[in-house]
Amino acid sequence: MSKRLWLWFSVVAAVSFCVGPFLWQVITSLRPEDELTRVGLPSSVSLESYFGAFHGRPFGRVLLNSALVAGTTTVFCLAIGASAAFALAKLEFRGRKLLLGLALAVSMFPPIATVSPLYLMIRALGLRDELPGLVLPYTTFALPMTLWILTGFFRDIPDELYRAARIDGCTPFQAFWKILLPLTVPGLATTGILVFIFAWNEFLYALTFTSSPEKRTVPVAISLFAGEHKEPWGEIAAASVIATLPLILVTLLFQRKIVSGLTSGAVKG
Amino acid sequence: MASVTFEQVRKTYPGGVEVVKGIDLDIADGEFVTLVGPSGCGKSTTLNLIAGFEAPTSGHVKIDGEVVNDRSPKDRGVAMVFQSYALYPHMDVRRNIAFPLEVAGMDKASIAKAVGETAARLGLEPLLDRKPKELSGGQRQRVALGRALVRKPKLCLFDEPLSNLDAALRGQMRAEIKKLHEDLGATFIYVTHDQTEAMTLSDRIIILNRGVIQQAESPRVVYDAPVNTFVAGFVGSPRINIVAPEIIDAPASALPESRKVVVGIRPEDVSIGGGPAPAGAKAAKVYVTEPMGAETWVTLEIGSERVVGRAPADFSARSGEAAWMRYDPAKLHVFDADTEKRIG
Repeated sequence: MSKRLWLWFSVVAAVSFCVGPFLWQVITSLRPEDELTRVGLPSSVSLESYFGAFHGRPFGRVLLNSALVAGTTTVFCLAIGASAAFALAKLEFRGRKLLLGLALAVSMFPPIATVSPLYLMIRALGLRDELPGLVLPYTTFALPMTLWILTGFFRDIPDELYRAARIDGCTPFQAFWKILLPLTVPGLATTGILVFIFAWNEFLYALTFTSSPEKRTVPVAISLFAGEHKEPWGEIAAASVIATLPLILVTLLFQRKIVSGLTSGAVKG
Repeated sequence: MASVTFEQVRKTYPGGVEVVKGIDLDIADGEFVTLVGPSGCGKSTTLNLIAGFEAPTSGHVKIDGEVVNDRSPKDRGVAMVFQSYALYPHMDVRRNIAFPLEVAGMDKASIAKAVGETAARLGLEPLLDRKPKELSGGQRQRVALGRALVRKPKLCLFDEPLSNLDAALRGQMRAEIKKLHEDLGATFIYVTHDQTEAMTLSDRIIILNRGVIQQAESPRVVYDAPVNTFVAGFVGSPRINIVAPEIIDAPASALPESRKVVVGIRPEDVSIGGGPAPAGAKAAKVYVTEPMGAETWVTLEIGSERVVGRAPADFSARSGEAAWMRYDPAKLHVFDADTEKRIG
């Protein structure tokens, strides 16, 4: 029995450690303004911080920017990543391991080390203060992760399935498109969530490559909420809660696609 | 229609492992050929060379007289049944069977007709709307056969198709595959490590060992006149007894002079009885008995060697009891002790 109790204690501890700060944020966002500095539950629930977050700043536009940037990045990453991962996992050519290693190396650079040269390149391309100026580096930096995860998924598909498709008359691309890709949907969903979250939450590049308020993304906009004389804690909390909702939504949406055992029945067992 | 020819084909994998070492082979149109051998003998690689999954390092692979070394699988018009069945899990049985025709761009009506005919032939009609995961192993194998045969291929390859099935089902499918071959008249090339499949199915057995063809003859010839001890040991069940001639008192008249030899005698050619040895029989001790119903296989111990033979169904003896063995010297296979090749 004590074993069970210990298990429950651990679960509750782990969950509160993760969810606690977010819950605190939710409570803060619902507090009336004059109770902001207090600890404990608010005396009444107030939505004024939520209205405040949109008041006098283009926060709606900012949300749209983030959705556009994160969405486009995810689509690019999956499109490029899936075809590259297929090639790395199923086609035979020299230097496959080297390529995967190089891809990993790219993601090892600390972002702060690349931010100034990237800034110059983005400016030279005329993409400074433009949303594509964010999609480009995001795709670059999320691709290695995409590639690694998806290569694993493609490797898990039996070679005989690929061969069967080839024997049945498919070109390598047709085999990829008609047979292998539908079987990696769970992998695409998982990777898609991770890439979307990365792009949604990215701060450093977004801060550096954009300057006008209506081109900002959510994390940057929230960080700039603070005025000269006061920290609008309630509004920051409300904006953070709003910014988290799309992530939860995307996760739930993709999760329905993560059907385990999709490949069962392809081969023996 | 579809003949296959190998001319001095070699295949070396990156890393320098040579798995196929200069194979010459002619498979005639309409022939049923099995490739057998222990794992790593090169039989699967040979099949992959025909399918087009691998290109030979040197030599030529020809289909219908045309060199196809670098031709991609889809341009070879070859069908294949895989060991793991390799059904497409996201498609139902109907689409699995229709897939090769869809890819070929056939019109819908013709596809439906062809799928219907194939399903009827294989008894798959009640299963057409199921997904592969809802099928048993035997049903999956049938669907895999259907997908291969729906195109009416001239050349069909089988990569150990029955090895994942249980024994009863294997026997049934074996008979069906043989019937399909007779009905279709296509060339079948069949890889297996099961010598029963090789014996019962093929017009010709090709026995491979370490990337070299040992013998390529009809099952009858391979069984009656194996070219070396490897082939002798590979074909026949229980396995042939191969011993020094003095162990079983092989008569000098059956042996060549002035050469060191080993002799082989198949268990079915050895009669075994219990008790003291009658005149002309060799005395031995029982090691183990295996009643099979119609007969009993008995393993005898003669000195340090063991010899398997056949006894009547009611034979029973404990290990260590006295027994005897007898055989017709004309049934002896004589091999050179050093080269292991057949003599005479």
